[in-house]
Amino acid sequence: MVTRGFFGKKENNDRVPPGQYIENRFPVLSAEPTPKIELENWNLTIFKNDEELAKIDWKFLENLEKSEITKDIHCVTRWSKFDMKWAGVSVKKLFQEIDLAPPTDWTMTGSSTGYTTNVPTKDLFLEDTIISYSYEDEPISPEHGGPIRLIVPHLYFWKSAKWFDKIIFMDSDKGGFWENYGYHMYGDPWKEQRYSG
Amino acid sequence: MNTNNFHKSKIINKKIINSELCFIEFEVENWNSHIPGQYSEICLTAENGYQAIRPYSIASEPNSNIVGFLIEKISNGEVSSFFFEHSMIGDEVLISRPIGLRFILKNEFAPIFISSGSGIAPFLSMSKSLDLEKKKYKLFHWSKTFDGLVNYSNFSKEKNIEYHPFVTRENLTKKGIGYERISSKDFNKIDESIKHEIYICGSDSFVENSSDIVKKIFLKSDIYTERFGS
Repeated sequence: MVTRGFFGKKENNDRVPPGQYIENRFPVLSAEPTPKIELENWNLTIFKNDEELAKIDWKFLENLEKSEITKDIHCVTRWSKFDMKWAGVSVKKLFQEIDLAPPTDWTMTGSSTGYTTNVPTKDLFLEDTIISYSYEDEPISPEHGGPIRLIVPHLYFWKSAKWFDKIIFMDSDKGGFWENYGYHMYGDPWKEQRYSG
Repeated sequence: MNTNNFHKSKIINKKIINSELCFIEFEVENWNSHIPGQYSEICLTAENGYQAIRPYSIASEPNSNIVGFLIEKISNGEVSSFFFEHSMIGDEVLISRPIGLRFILKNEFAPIFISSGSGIAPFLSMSKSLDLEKKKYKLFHWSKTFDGLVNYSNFSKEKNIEYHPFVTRENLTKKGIGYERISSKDFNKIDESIKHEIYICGSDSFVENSSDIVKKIFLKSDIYTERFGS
């Protein structure tokens, strides 16, 4: 069905996944009020089901080898922003440093607000999946998930938990917050995996 | 681009509200109603096959295949500019099935709606649903200009609404309209000991500021937010 009078501007760019448009701003889309978290009070806790396996704080994280990634980010609400620069520690590196092997194939990642989103262990351990503390060389602002945000750049951005503070290894894959509201369990932008069903 | 869950739709009404807002109504084929607060994606298709899709809050009453959207003109916005400058009655688009199960009207506790600018859009749908039940609610709307107080005369008349409009960039002397930006004193007369369901929608900065204020006052209430843009 052609819309009369619409000519559009072709996003002639193979970096744009299907159904996305290029956005130069950095939209904020949260379903809840923004928490204010001080870095000195931040912890990341790692669980297997209910069992706590490890807990690290900011002092430990900031002294780990820094990873810098520059990636295109794709939001399920259709915007894509190119070349976003994040710095932090890769999840894989963190686990090496604390000498912990991932015990299952499935994780639920979470925020201090109670937000959750599932990420398969293999995706969490990709080189470009990082626990980020800076965006464009500045601390991540609270509304964008700071001080610490998980960045999973190859999936839709709802998979990158803001105010990141937990990893729970699960025995099987389960949906988190948005997945339980009808979003796709995996969320690959190149396959347009926005919603379930 | 996957448009499998999209419906053929035709513009049946277009109203330019001011230089930033217009309201467009579509007749949508095979529409199965929506839950107040949900949004849809509107897809425009050019002759060369190029498509542009953007999400918009549904701003009309449920249980009707006439579906309305409040569209804010975005600078260099591909879809909003089309609707503002070129669209005409009879134009055809695709509209997705309703989406979203989080920012929807729960209708379990006393509702409070807080909005700025085009953030009134989801509350146009929620209010219509509550009006049908004659259920009471409170509506706060901040607009830069008087003409941006969408649905002002209807909201002012309905007996089940406690309506608080604010205009921040015009000097008017109109009874019942406030002129200051949001602050905690706007909620002084609401009993915070009663559990409410509070919905906040608008620009990122407005939602950030409002939710900071509201969460300190309404400790027992649930707060839901929806933000437009950066």
